[in-house]
Amino acid sequence: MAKTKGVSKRQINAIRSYARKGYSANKIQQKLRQRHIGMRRTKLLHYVRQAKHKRARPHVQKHIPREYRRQTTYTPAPKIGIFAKQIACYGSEHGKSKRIQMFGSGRQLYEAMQIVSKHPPKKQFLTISSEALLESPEEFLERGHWDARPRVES
Amino acid sequence: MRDQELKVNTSLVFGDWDTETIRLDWDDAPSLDEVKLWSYRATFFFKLEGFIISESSHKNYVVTQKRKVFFRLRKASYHVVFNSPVDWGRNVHVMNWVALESGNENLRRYVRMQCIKETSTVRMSRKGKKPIPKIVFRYGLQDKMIKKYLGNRSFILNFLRKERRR
Repeated sequence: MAKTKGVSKRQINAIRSYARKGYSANKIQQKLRQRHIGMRRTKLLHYVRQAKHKRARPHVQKHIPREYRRQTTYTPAPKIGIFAKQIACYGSEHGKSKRIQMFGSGRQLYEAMQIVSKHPPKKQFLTISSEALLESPEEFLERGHWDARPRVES
Repeated sequence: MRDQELKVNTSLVFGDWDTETIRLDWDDAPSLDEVKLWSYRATFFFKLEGFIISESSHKNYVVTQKRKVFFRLRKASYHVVFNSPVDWGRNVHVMNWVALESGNENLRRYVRMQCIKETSTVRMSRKGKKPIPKIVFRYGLQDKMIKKYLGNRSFILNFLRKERRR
């Protein structure tokens, strides 16, 4: 969203002049209202911060009582890497289901998928980075082949 | 995308996995409307922003007697992926909530399987006679986990297409 949307130059100039005088945000709002050019507090604070060369405080939510806090969305921990792709390959070998979960960058993952599509893993369940798999495929993969008709579940 | 025309190696199944995305596998769902209903309910109840439904396979049942068709029934399986990223605890919470409230035994089985693996997975390639899942419905925002899901999907389909040409 553009911050200048719905804010006139007159308002911005007035805020800057009041900020130069050292007025607080509440007093600036009061003055603007007197001149019939009042504005929303969120936008006002944004322009006051700009004029006073100040940053917004971190963790603002902690000042708000818990019941009134906004529900923030979960941000995943970067264990695997934010830009990594995650692909699971599963099938069966001699009627025994086997699964390998890989993650990594596109090119490495592509090469790992080429190898895995030919040879099943030694373990029944394996989670591994494509980089580690490409370094030593003999350590993790068998020489056998996948069954033609897999009976596996997602 | 001509998913149905792709002929790939059916001995191996490729899928998308992680712990942050809520996925549901409605095996033999009564109808698409019921899947939509539960997806809407979960989206509004847990604030999941949006979802995408893909049809993974379908079965046609026909009841005939003396060459006369008495009854036709089409049952399909659907995959649902939600947009909002969540931690694993929340993921299990939502999956179990839908599975228990809807009363779908196949969905419960799927959720149990995901709990055993501690990751959630849905299929993206062929599996035996089942075709590649086809997107049938979208709702709400598609910018987070659905974007990732679609990126992985196109990655796998490109891989299968190139492997087929070899």
